[in-house]
Amino acid sequence: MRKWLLAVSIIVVFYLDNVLVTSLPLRGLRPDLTLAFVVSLGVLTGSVPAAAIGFGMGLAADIFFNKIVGLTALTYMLSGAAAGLFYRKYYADNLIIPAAACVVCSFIKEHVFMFAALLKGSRPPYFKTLISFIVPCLVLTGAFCILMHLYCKHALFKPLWRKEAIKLEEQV
Amino acid sequence: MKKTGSNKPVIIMIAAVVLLLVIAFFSAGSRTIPWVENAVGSVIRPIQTFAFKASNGISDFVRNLFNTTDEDLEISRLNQELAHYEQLKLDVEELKQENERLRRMLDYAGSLGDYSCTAGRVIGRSNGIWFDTLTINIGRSSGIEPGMPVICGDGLIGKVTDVGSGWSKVTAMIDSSVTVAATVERTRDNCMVRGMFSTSDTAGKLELYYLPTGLTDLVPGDIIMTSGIGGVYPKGIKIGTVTEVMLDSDQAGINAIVEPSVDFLHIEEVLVITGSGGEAQ
Repeated sequence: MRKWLLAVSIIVVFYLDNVLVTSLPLRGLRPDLTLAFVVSLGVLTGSVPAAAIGFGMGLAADIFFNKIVGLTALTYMLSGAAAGLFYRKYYADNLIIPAAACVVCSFIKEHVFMFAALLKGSRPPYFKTLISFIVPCLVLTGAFCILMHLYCKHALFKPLWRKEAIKLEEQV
Repeated sequence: MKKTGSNKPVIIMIAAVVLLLVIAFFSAGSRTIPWVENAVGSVIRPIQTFAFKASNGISDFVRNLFNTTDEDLEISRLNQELAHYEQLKLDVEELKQENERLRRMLDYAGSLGDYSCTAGRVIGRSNGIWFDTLTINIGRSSGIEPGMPVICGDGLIGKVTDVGSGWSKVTAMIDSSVTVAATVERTRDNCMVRGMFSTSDTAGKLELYYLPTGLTDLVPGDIIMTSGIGGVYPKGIKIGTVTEVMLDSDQAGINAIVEPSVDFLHIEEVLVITGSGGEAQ
């Protein structure tokens, strides 16, 4: 894995997700770029690195921007770990698996936040919020996860050259 | 494998089309597109600055190799001066706008009474709809403490909830967990205002409640101010304007939708009220 590019990608995704996307007037809707990134990494690298990166990015976002510190870190960490369950179980070319995993993780994450908002005294109308916010956000996040997965797969991993493939095959 | 690979461009294209449609749909309501410029500018500006400086450096070097006459050198010097003055003009314009905003904010703070204030800048916002929090660049080292009210030139923003050494988090008044004691400016009736949950049609609005029926004639256009009751927010800070009035579900009271006077998407500078010089908060 290209570690330097991974570090740059983490910074760029963090900036886009927490600074740029929040300044866009999308009527409260937002694609969760960090979640898409973490889930994609989970599918490509496994549970541990994805959970660690999700935890770090979530915690940084919580500290700098969010009201409840730790909630985002928890959801991203668990999402990374859950996405890692698909590691090496499907072809890396499969775009449906990360997108579907991302949609499920996003659905759970929004419900966790809704519960936290309920605890803080908000009374969000469930079905209205589900239709007007959660579902559009899931679609956006899933779509971005496909793009993010394509990026991660091609940019973060060195291509396996023919010579190396033959060598590996011989070893097997 | 082969089939998926051959479909890749199609998938990317479909994803791009879907995204563009979504963005187009949400931006269709507005004729002006300042947010597009903001968004693109935010991303491209650092790259653009770097690329511009790098390419300028290279072209200047090449030009200096061949431009050796006095006229060439003079033109080069004048061009540099011109670029410098153009940049200066942009800086002056930016400072003028900032000065105007700060002057308005200070005038507003002065009109509230004898309060001491500390100015700060917004450096971040919470994401999602569940909570509305701003991060500002002043904290404990500037005398900021949790619970202090935060205002800008247009009215009340919210209150400080978390304080770091050089930064603070401000929970905005439009957060659905925040309640503010308020007064209708025209009738002097007391009521409560709380943040409405930000689904698409009520995003960033406030709900006015606890206003008994028969005792008041609240109408759209009425201005809502803080009442000072409860001691959290000083009296007389503008909250917003009533846009819609209706009876509540058991018809015992009047509810209203209030449009906040502050544009929460475009707050740049804020004032934290750090104390009162004589008046009780």
